[in-house]
Amino acid sequence: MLDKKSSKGKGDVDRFDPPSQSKRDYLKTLGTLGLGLVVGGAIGWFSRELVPKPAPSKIELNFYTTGHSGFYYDVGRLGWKPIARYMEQNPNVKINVLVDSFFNVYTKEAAVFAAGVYAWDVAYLWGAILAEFYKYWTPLDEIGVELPSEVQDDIVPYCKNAVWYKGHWYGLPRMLELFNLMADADVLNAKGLPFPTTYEEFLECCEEVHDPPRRYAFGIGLKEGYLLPPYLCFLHGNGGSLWKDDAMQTVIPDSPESIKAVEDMVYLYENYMDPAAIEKIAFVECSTEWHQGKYVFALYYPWPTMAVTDPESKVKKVYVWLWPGKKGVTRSASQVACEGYGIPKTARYKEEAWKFIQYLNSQEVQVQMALNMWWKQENEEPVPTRWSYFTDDRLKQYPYNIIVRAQLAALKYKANRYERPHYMAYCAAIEAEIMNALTKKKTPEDAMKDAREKCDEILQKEYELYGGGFYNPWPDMQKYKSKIDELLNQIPVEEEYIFPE
Amino acid sequence: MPRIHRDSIDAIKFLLPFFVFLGVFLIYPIFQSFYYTLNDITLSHLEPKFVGINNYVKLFSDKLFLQALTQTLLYLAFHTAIGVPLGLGIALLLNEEFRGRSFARACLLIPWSTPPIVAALTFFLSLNPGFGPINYLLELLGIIPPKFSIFGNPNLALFALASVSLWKSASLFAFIFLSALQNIPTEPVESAKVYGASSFTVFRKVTLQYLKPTIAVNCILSCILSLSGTQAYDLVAGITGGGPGYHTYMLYYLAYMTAFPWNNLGYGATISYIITFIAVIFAIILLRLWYKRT
Repeated sequence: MLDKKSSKGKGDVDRFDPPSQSKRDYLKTLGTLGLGLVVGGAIGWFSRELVPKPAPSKIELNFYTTGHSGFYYDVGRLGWKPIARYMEQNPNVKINVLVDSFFNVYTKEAAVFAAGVYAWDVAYLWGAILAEFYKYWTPLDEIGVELPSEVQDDIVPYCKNAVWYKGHWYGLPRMLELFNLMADADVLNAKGLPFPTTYEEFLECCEEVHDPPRRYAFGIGLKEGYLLPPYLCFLHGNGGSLWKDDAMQTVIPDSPESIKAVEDMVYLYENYMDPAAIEKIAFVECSTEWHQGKYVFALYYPWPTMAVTDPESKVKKVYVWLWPGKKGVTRSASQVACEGYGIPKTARYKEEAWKFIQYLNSQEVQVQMALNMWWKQENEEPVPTRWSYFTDDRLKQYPYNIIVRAQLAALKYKANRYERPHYMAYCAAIEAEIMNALTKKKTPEDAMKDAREKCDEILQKEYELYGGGFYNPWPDMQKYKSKIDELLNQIPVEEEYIFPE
Repeated sequence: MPRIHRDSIDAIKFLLPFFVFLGVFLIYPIFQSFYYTLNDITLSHLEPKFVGINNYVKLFSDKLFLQALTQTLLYLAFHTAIGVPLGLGIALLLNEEFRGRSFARACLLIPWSTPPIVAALTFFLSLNPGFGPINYLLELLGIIPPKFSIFGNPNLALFALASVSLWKSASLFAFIFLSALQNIPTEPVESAKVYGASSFTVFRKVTLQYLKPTIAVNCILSCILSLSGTQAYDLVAGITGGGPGYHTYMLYYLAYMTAFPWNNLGYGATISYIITFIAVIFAIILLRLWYKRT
């Protein structure tokens, strides 16, 4: 019984007592340890001036990066090792590389920043993390760095979004990539189908080539965690936008274009995709299946195109170009991913960190990064972040040329990622509701109305903490249309890989 | 100095390191997180803004919280109602004499000693609609249609997750039952048999009576594992990520997502407090039931 006291009372306390000998031993050990610490500390303190100072040791830079870009931690498939090279060129610097999955970076950086401790000198950065935790990053002007205007102009505006927040630069971009439409060229040619230039043509092609379960017309992972990017392509393809241009930059997943986008996704999923697609993350699993020839069309960052150089690939020839928009609405619409490196506020060696970041953004490193792209996820190496790097001769070789051209062409169309402080929360709210529509738990309209309700809650909190005025790179991007045309003209390509813009 | 007083001082000396540890790593965080629940605080803005009990009030109108609460209770009921009897069944089997019993007992350790995240990935792959062997078998038997995604199905995902959790927990329950079975005195069982009781009657009238405290312990354990054990987080994070939609969000996972990725520490801490509150209520109810019966 709970209320019945044990008959063993205080009188029996000896039962639990250690023998007095052990007690003495315990206290003796504790006392000796304490005394040892005090004596050791005192000797250390008084002898600190007597001990010769060691020669200046190497500067150790802690470099925090993500797993999906093996090139940046020296496991690129071509064996070009940027970190080892930097240490060779700078013998006084040792780089400690710390790698994490992309999906863990956000929480780890958030926790480390909030704790206010030193962890890294150079760390992975992207638009949402910077916007949310800008207080924990070092603005370059704070360490006396002013980015020359020619460098600023050379950076693709979408990439600027990864390292620039409300008037301050916080680092330099490391990569740029946009969704493109890829097609197994042999299948299209065998059926006499042209590469689609409108969404309607794309659906017609899907109908012609769909042959389940041997081969699905369209392949993309729809699992939550990376469902927002494909959705944005459908949204932009309908002429929609995720933000309103009002003071709060209201997030509007319930716009007619957005509801239509979800309807389009549901239609494609039900009619032309692998039912298992809802368990696959974007193209992670799908890229292996693409390599095995299980899809004709794929919508993703275009590095799986490199399957054409792998003798084991079942896909031998790839057409890669624009994700087509709806007829009469827009020619194309994509979504963009940009990342960079910045210097946390708690970094120990900010100047050395800045030098290292500049190296990572140099032409040689950026071009080598692009050359390392491959169809496997750990080598998801994208294209460079600066206009002047695109015309490097090495990128003009097949198949890089078809990929770089497709990426450049996609930059002419809306590809916003809508990164802002509470991006992660918006993302989860919208993705969950798209999934509800895909699994028929709700109609697309109801699902997106529920998403709006959740987004309104998030918006209110975000506006209180951050105000509005988040950078929208799209207006800046439009200024570069003629520059993109100029660059496209400088990258030669065989006739059959040229498609209408 | 009186003996008892001297003994108390000695006891304090020995216990002090433990209490310091407990204070720093348990008591302080408990109070600190309670303080968070009364404030609006985020990882990016650590300056707290006092909101009183607003975070608690908000829970009642938060659809996602209510959905996660319902799902957690469903998961808990499924986990306990099936897991505890299953554990008992396994224990009764392993308590019998048969060839290879030691090996079978050793095998029972495997599920429990498998880290939850490894179990999550194993089942995620085994039930993969594309290449998972279990899915393939279910397809061959005509139980599911081709390429059927169990974890992607809003009606099945939660129970599939709970089943993975069961695979792990049932072995623990079985071990606890097994040790209890081995401590049952043989005399009452023998006398019941002498008086002509059937095996089932012996089990119901004798064995089960001795096992009541163990059943209560296993039920409490099952509730705690479902509410806040690492399994409750790792399996969700490793297999479904809360999806499809919000259909496998459970309180523990929701608390983490709210506090960290969605950057709302105060509200996340409030959800954690609710989990603790529910766990304590369950523990009290089950303990009271147990003491009433014994």
